[in-house]
Amino acid sequence: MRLRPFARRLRSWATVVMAAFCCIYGRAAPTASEVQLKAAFIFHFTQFISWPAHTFEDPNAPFVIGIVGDEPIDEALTEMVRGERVDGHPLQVRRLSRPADAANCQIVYSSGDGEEKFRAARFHGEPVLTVGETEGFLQSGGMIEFITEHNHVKLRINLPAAKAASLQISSKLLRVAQVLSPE
Amino acid sequence: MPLQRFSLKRRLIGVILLSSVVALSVTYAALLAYEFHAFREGTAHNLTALARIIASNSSAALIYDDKALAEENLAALRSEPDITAAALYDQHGRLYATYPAKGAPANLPLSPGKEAMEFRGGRLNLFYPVVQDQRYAGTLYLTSDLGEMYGRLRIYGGVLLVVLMGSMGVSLFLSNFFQRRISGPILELAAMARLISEQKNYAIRARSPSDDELGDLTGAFNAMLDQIQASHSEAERARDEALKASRAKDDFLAALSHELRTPLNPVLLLASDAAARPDLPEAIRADFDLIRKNVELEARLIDDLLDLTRITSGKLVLNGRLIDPLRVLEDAIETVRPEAAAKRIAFSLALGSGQPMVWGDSVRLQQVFWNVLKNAVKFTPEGGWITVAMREDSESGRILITVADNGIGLTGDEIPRLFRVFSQGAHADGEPHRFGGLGLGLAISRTLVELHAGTIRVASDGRGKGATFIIDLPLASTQTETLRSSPGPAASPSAARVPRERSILLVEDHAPTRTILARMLQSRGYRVLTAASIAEARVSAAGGGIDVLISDIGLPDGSGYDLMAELSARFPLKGIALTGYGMEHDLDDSRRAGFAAHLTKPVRIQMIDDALGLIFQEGRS
Repeated sequence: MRLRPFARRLRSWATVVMAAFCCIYGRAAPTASEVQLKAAFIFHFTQFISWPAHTFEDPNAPFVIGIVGDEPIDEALTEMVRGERVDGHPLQVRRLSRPADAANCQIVYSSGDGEEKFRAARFHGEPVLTVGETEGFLQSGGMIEFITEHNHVKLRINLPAAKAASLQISSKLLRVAQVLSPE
Repeated sequence: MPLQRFSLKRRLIGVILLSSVVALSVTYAALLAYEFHAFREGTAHNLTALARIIASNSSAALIYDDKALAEENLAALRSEPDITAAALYDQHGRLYATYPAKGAPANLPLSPGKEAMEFRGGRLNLFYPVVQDQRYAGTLYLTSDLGEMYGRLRIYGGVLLVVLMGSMGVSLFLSNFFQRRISGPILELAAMARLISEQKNYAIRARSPSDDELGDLTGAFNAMLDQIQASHSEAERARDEALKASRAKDDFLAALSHELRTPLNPVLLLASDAAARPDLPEAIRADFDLIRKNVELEARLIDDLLDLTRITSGKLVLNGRLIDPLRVLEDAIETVRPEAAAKRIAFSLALGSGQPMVWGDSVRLQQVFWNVLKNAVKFTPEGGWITVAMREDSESGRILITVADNGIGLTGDEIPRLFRVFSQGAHADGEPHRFGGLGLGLAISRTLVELHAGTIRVASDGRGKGATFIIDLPLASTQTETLRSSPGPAASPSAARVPRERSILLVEDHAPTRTILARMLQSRGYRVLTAASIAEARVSAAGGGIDVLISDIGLPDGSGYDLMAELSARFPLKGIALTGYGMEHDLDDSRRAGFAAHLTKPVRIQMIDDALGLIFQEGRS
């Protein structure tokens, strides 16, 4: 389902208003801005990354973004993906409470404490994109890490990990990110 | 003429040049328009392709807010020198990145427009959406300077212009070469037509150059010339024939007058002699005088006829010298006086006292006066009057002779016709021949007066009111050469005056004239030898002792002039010419041949007496 232009514009306006809000209140509410930004980044990953064909056994199965950790991104992300589809699969946002649930997700975003629980989790070649925001996330096998430099959220990508999970990352995305090559 | 000759060539060349230049110009304009369109299309296509690549490459930079990457993407446009400015706008419409990254043109749009391409002010501006996975991520703006495109078009146009000039040169050369095939024959034809009309040579023909319409034209021209030549030669033949016929008529009239005069000769000789013989009774002499007058009238009519042929053939020449018109006029009056007296017409004369002189031929002038006076006598009733006046106007240098009568007069219609040949006035129509004559006298008079640089005119108040003839002659410059009053020879026919026997050789082929004239001369005491031809005359003259040769001019075996020349070279003799021709050149020839006198037949015996008297008087002195 495509968003109708009006709805999309409305959402764009909402973003603008929030960004303006952030600017006015300065550091008082960086979290809200960052959360919003990260939600958008996560959503856009679906456009720059290709999941292998065998990812879905059921053509009607949802494309699930799992959320782990304490970052209050659920709402923003849920709002972001409403009505959106990836290759015909409706997008869903789920909060994961245990690592086992991650197996049915295509993207898992973990933050803060929650990350600890999933850091060790290995999906053993399952096509699951792991996104994190804590330092050392990539070293522990994570694929994409948000880093904040000069109030800018940047990406770091662990390309071997993504390849191991049969995920194809667009060169366009690689160009905006710091890429960790295999040694 | 040269201008006209070249105008056809010029026009042909002009037409060919104009057609080729117009055709080439249209072609080149179409080429240029196509190239212009193709250039724009090509530029637009290239720009769109470029925009697609940059937009595609820039989606992640916009989505993940990587300004450096966005600027780096735009910086790739350095390889496209036409693109002078570019910009990226994020999905919220904010200007995100520019090219050049620093010092971007101030005229960049502040916000993105709809996807569109527009040519404006020598630039091509393009808004292109940045879309990632069918989602709008921002807008790319590119502006391309079309200066290069226009520059190339200018060069292209310049090349076409040079080619056009070259084509014109080639076209000029070729058209100048080929137009000759068309203009050549036409100009040749025109030149020939001019030549023909100048030389009147209709035998010239144009040569046919080809089988086309020009050949047809030449053929038609030649056919026309054939017709002109045919009708021209026919006209020439007709003219020659007419001339020949006219000459034949003149010759015939001359011969006729000669033949008509010859028989009058013996009659006049006899009548004039008899009328003057004192031994005859008065009544008989009057009868002979009547015969003489009528023969002279007859001769006059024949003379008029002869004069007319001379006038129409332009052969009438004056034997001009200074003369006294008064004397001539008086002589003319004397000749008509007897007739006037018979009709009891009163003559009043006002002839002035001076002695004006005019240049002219006294014989001819007397003929004019005689005609006018005779005319007046003829149309004046019995008991009428005639006034003759002569007035000298030294101011205008002219002399006026006026002859007025109280005769039947003239109507206004008749006046202009009066001096025309064969016209006697309307009154002659009603009663033909009442007045006699051929109506030639006045026509001849007019011609004679005009030959004297004078005029003759008539005035009349109408029928029954008389007429006035006015003859106007120029006065000769009053040189003091007065007329020698020639001593009038003794008019007496008395033979007793011959002091001694003189010998006369009479050469005349007309037997009656010869016989009678010989008898008369013998009766006057001359010794007369006769001859009918030059051959006989030679024999007769061989013995010598001949004082005077009286010779006809038209002799059967030659001319009387030759005879005179021949005899006067051998003997000291004088000569008198008798001729029926009476033409002016005869008089000249006569004098040149040595004749002392020239008498026109028919002659009165008194004329011969006078001539002989003059000769022997001179011989005596």
